[in-house]
Amino acid sequence: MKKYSLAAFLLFLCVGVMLVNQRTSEGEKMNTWPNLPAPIGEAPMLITSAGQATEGKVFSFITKDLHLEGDYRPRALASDLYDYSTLVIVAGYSPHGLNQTYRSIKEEKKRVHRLLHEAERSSIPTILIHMGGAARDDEITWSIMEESMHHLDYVIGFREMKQKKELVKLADDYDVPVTLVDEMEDLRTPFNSVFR
Amino acid sequence: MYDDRRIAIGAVGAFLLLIGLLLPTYTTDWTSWLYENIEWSLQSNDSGRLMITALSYISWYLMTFLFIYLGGMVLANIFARDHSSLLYQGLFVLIVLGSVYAFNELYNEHYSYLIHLLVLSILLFLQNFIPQQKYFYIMYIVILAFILFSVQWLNLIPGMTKFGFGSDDFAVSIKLADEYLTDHILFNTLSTILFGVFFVIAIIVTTILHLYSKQVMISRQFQEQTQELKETRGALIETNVYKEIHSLVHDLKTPLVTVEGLLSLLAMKIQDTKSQAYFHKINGSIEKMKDMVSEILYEETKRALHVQELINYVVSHISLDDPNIDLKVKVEDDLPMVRVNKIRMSRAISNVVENAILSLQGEGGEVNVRCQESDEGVLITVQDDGMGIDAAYLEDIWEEGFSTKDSSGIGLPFVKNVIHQHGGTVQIESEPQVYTRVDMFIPFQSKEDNKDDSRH
Ligand SMILES: Nc1ncnc2c1ncn2[C@@H]1O[C@H](COP(=O)(O)OP(=O)(O)OP(=O)(O)O)[C@@H](O)[C@H]1O
Ligand SMILES: [Mg+2]
Repeated sequence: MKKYSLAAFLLFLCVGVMLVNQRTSEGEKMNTWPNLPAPIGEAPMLITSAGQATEGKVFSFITKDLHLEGDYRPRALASDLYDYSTLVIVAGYSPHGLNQTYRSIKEEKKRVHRLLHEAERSSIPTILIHMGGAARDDEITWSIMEESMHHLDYVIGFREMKQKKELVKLADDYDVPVTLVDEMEDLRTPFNSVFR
Repeated sequence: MYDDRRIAIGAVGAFLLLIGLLLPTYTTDWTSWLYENIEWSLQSNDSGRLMITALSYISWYLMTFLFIYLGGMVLANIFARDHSSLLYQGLFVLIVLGSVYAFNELYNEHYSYLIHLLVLSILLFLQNFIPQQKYFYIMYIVILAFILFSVQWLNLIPGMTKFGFGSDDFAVSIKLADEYLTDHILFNTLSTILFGVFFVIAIIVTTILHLYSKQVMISRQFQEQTQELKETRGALIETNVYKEIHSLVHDLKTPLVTVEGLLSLLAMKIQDTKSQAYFHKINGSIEKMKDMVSEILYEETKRALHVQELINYVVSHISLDDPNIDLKVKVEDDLPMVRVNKIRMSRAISNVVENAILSLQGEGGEVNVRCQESDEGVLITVQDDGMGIDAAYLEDIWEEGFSTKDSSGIGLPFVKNVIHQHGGTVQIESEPQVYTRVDMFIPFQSKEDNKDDSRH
C-alpha cells in the first residue's frame, strides 16, 4: 500500500522521537543538596521574574502558602530592592510574557543583571528558582541561568532538564549550593530552608 | 496559459502559508488575553477559567495551523496532482514541517513537532477515505480541523511532557498553573478525554463521508447502467433504421436501371438531334445518381481526387467560431492525385481536425494541417498544442465508445477504419499539455485499387 507508506513512516518517526525524548529526560540521578543546612535569607523578599514566564506568578503563590513575607514584582528594577532583605529570581523565558512588557529579551536580561549587581552590592542573598524543568530548558532560559550563576547564593531547579549536568557543574565552580527536585510540591522544603 | 494557472495557484498557496505564519502578529489581543487569563486563574484559584483558557489556546493554534496546512496542500498540489502519490505527500509534509520550523524560529517558540508528525500521519491516512467529489476541500478542511483540535490536546496532558509534547510557551504555562491548582489531576484527565473524543469524532466523520459517497457512487453507477441499456436499445433501433434506408437506396437502383434501359431504347427510336441532346443529358443525370447511390452503398467506391480539393472540402465543412483558435492549412504543391472515397475520407479527416479544435477549447491555440508527399503516398498531419492525451489512454482512444469528453467516442475508430480501407496507416503521438499529432498516411496506389471499384 504505497499511499499509506508515508503516513506509517511519520507515525514510526513520532513514536521513535517520543521514546528518545523520554530516555534523555530520565537520565542518571545526580547528587545534590536536599536543602540548605542553615538559613541564609530573611523576610521580606522580592520575587521577580527573569524572562516573564508564568512560573514567577506560580512561585509567588507557593511562597504565600509557606507564609513567607514578600512581594511578586515581575518587572522590578534595581531601585526597588532597598525595601527587601532577600532577592528571589524565577528564571523562565516566555515569548508571550515578554510581549506583555513590550521589552526585548536583551532589555530583560539587562534589568536582571542590574538587580543582581544591586543585590551583591548591598549583600542581599540571591536565590534562583527554575521550575519549568524540561518544559522550559530552551537556550534563552539557560543563558539567563548561566549569566546569573556567579551572583547567586542558592539554586533550586527540577531534575528533569536538558542542561542538568552543566548546571550542577557550573554551580560547583562558583560554590553555589544546588537542589534539584522532581515536582513542584518538592520545592517547598528546600525553599523553606532558606529562611527557617 | 497553463503556467499562468500554476502561478496563480502557487500565489494562493503562498498567501495562505503567509497568513498562518503572520497570524500571531495580528492577534496580539488574543494572545495577551490568553497570558492574562492563565495568571488570573492562578490569582482566583479558578481551574474552570484555566480550562477555558486552554480551549482558547488550542483554537488559536488551530487557526494558525489550518492556514499553514491548507497553504502546504495547495502548494504541493502544483507539483503533484494526485493526493495519494508519494511526491505530493512528501512535498506536503516538507512544507508543513518547514513552516512549523519557520514559525518556531520567527517567534522563539518551541511548538512540539511531534504534534505535527502525528497530525500529518493521521491526515495522510484519512485523506484516502475522503471522497474525491466536489465538496472534497470542504470535507478535507473539516476533518483536518477535527484532527488538529484533538491531537493538540496531547500538548496539555502533563504526563506527555516527558515524551516531548507541549513544549510551547502557553502549554508549559497552562500545565504549570494546573500543577499548582490541581496537582495535574484536571489536565491529565480532561485533556486525555478531549483528545480521545475529538479523535474519534474525526474518524467517525471520515467514515460517514466515505460510506455516504460510496452509496452515492453505487446509485449513480446504477443510473448509468440503466442509461446505457436505454442507449443500446436506441442504437439497435437506429441500426435497423439504417438497414431500412440502405435497402431503400438499394431499391432505387432497380427503377434507375429500368429508366436507363428504356431511355436507350427511346434514343434508338427517336433520331432527331434535339431529342438526342435531351437523352444525352438525362443519361448524364442518371449516371450521377448511380454514382451517388454507390458511394453511399459501397465503402470501396473511390475516385481520383486532388489532395488540395479534398482538404478544401474538409475545411469548408468545419465550423470554427472560437477566435482564439488558429487553423493553419498547408498543402504541398504538385501532389499527385489520390484515389479515395471522398465522402468517407473527408469525414475521417474532419474528425481528427475537430478533435484537435476541441482540445483547444477555452484555452485557444493553433491547429496545423499539413499535407506532403512521403514515400509513395501523401502524409496528412494534424497537430495541435492543446491538452494532449495521457500516456495511459493512448491505446484506449482507438476503442469504440472511449471518450474523455462525454461524447460518443466513435471518431477515431472510424478514422482508423477509413484509413485502413485505403491501405494507409494512422498514428497518434502526444505529450500531455504540450501537443498532439495525428499522422495519416494514404498511399497513392493501394491494393484495393486493383479491384473493380464500380460495382453496381
Ligand atoms: N487532438 C487531441 N487532443 C487531445 N485529446 C484527444 C485528441 N484527439 C483525441 N483525443 C482523445 O481521444 C479520445 C477519443 O477521441 P474520439 O474522436 O474517438 O472520440 P470523441 O472525440 O471523444 O467523441 P466523438 O468524436 O465521437 O464525438 C477523446 O475523447 C480525447 O480524449
Ligand atoms: Mg472526436
